[in-house]
Amino acid sequence: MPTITFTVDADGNQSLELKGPKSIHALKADFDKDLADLGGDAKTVERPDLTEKEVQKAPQQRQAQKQRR
Amino acid sequence: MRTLARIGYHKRRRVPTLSTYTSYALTGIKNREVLLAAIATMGLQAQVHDKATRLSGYYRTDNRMTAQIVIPKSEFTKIGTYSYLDIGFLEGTDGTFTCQTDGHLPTMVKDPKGTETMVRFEDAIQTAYARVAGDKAVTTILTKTIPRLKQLGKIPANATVRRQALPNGTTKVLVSY
Repeated sequence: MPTITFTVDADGNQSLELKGPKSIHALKADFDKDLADLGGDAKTVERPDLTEKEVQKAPQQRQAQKQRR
Repeated sequence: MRTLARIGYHKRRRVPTLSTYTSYALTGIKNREVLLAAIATMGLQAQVHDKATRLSGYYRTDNRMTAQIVIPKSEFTKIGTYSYLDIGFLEGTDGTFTCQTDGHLPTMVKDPKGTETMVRFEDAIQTAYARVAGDKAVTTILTKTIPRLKQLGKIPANATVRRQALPNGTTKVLVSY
């Protein structure tokens, strides 16, 4: 399920998280445009939804599944 | 993504889900409306001039400074502090406002973060501006960005939009569909 989360903390720090298929990431430009008027300079980081730990665990999990079969 | 493909995750998910995380750093005071609101949250009232006017100061050299937005030094007594000179904001050609204040005798005001300490006015206005800009950003997203995205069909018209206020002062706008 695609999700958009915009967060402002108590000090006014703003962040935007777009989660979902590639099409959702095109929406970033719309947010950047509206927030630029307030002086917000966008800095973007792309990250897979899997954490590093999950990525490292994955081969072991596959091996364990094979053994159970 | 190369690492994920190597371990075979692409076979499990045909459409890889990816998060884009964007942080918006305030690079300066750019919005006049937000600046005036930030000054007001500090209990001060600013005068707005079409043309940059001279600031009244303690030293002769201070009188050379000009600004379009001026907080008269008399305003600071209203909030229980003192300023030797007017504080102003001069609009640059790039639309960014620069705080015009005295480098020798800094004006100290109560920390807008709510602590009992006194901080320099230049720092306090940055905090106040960031907070007002944050509130304004939430309003902009709820009243402008999301409705426009729905209207353009970029997100479904029935997408769920929720505003969440957390006890630590954080505000979240959550959109899901």
